Amino acid sequence: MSTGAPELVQDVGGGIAPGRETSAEIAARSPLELFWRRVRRDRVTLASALFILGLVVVAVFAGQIVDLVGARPPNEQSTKFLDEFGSASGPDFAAHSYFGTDGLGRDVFSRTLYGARISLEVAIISTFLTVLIGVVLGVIAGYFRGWADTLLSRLMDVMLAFPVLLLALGLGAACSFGQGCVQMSFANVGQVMVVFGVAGAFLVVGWRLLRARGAGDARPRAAELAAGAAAWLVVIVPGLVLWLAVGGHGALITPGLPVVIFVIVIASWPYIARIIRGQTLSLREKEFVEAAKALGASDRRIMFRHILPNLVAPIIVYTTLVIPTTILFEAALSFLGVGVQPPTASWGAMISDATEIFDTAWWYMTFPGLALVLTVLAFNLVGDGMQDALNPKTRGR
Amino acid sequence: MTDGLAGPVGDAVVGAAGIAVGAGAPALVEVRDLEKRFPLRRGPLQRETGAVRAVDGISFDVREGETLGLVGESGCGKSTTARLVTRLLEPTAGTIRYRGEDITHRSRRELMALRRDMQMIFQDPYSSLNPRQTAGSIIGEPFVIHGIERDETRRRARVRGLMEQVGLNPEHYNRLPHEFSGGQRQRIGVARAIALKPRLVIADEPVSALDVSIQAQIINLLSDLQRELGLTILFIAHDLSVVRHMCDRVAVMYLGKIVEVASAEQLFAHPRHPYTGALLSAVPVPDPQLAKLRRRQVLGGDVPSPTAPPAACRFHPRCPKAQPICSREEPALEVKEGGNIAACHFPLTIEEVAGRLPVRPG
Repeated sequence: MSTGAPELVQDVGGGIAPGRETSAEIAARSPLELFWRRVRRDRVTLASALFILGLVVVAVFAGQIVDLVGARPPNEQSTKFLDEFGSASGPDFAAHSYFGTDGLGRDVFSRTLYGARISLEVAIISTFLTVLIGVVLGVIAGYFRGWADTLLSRLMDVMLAFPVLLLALGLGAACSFGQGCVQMSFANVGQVMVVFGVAGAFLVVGWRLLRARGAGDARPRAAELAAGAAAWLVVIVPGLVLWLAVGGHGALITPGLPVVIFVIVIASWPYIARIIRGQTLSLREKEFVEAAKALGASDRRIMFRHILPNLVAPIIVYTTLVIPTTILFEAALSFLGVGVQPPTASWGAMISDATEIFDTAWWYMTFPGLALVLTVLAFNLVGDGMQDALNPKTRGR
Repeated sequence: MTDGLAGPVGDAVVGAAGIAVGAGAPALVEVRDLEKRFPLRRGPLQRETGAVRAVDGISFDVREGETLGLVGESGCGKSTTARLVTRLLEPTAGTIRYRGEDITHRSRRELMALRRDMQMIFQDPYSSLNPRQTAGSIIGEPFVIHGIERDETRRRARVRGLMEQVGLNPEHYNRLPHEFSGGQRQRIGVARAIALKPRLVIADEPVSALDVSIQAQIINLLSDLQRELGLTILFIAHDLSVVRHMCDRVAVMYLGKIVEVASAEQLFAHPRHPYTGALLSAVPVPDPQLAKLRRRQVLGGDVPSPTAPPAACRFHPRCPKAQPICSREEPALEVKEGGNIAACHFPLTIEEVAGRLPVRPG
């Protein structure tokens, strides 16, 4: 991390990497400076970013905020807070019931606040995994082309053809009774995936080496082989996560956050990977990549220093597009009853509950719905603003 | 004009590959029967149905310290040749020797040392610079890749020196490529190419994308650097006046073959291959009286497809002097009258040359 700012490998998830300048440097503004100047002038983006920041604070300190304003904890049921007919009661500031209560007498305000936790958790984890897998595999497919590309592109096709919602519903339906699916624990699924992935990687490398011995012309490069093997990380990594992190104690498949995240990642990574693959295909033909090759740069260097930095803009844009869809996806799954399980508060689950009493309790659907809409809108607007601010050709100032 | 075969090329030897291997300066690069085919695949099984014969058996030397021009129409294989010599492409057949060592099939790792010696300048100053890298980090990248000047401050100093050397303001170290003009960007490309003090620079149409007024600056910069650093340059171009100004020797390519090689004076004074004659007769003549005298030789038709090149002499379907033998027997590169080396059964005569390139008497 030495010379100029763009030499830094830019972070996949957010913003541009910080640039440093030696004090003696004259004039030239660093890219970060430019980025800041542009964002500062863009009020909509700034407001949306502040909203998201506020949302993060709310999610992190949900418990403290609820205590501070005197609202009740999110899962506390009480008939005291129902109206005289025993159904949900509306907002009552005197009773510290700001958003009213649901049909069980739980406080909608604190449930909405706690729901932000679930939404952001899902958004961050699954977007991170989606973008990571999508970018890695997209760049590998686009840069090495050939058989690695064929393999990965067909994998993407299969994934895109997969009825993901059906998978989620099936998982939910089959596993929502009692202890969950007794037949197979997450650990077992993870083990199978890891074994499958490692075997696949070996097979691919072996097959490639065998084929190369037959045809004299194309000798496989070590990096190319490594990339082919790395393609199987898409199976191995989630497998390891399931095995070690999620299913370490022999947990069973029950509907919940891990299932939600798994389904979202499986459903979304091919979109990112396709876009990144296409961009990489066009970037690798640029003369500056050829120039780097003529200088003797390694494949890794070309991918990290020359291709990835030029992908930052699309990555950020699609990341900000993925975040709201993951939030909506989680809400949809919870709405359908296969997401976060009660009594944990989730916006989707709350909206789902609210549909039954919507004609009498408008507040129950309005507040979580509003939170959902505003959050998704804010992320989308920030995405737009980032795109403008990160484009090096946007007019200076 | 010149007289008979003896002439100034008495010391030329017709080598094993059928091309004159010049004496004088030792060859830095020897290319022999170099071939590159791009296979055309079709169908679900990706069977090879044919191939684009981009470079089809060419041989030439680049001598130490000279500037060799490589000219020809678009699509004749000039740029492919450049990328074969720098080993950015894998040759299909033939050999490339650099300072006597065979580098034809060296692996990327084995080529690392060579990369310091052999650098390339690209045609398009807009796409040849990474838009996300500053000028300083583009020019400094060769040092980083080859692990030279690991010390940050010293590398910065070197890069600033290079920027000054190519006529850039070192204060623009932190600017991004889009903040420079086309000529300045090409200077960045030149600075990157000479950063490691290479022996050989391969310039792939370094000025064709530039304004005419800027072209002269870049060409003069290259000439100056050549003198200062003792560079050998393989200069690829399609602008003949640029080539005349810049090059010691010129090789003319047509459809993947070299059809004529000669020193710049010989080639421009008396082209022997009818294709060279046609190219030269297309250069505008600034003198209106001479222009009237000129009988321009306009070539009919298009360049044939390199997937199915014409038999024997590739130029025969468009050649004004073609005879039946031209489609039966491929002419070898031989020393012709005036010392040019050309591959033609019926080289241009003095009168034909005079018609194409009128010279003011006296």
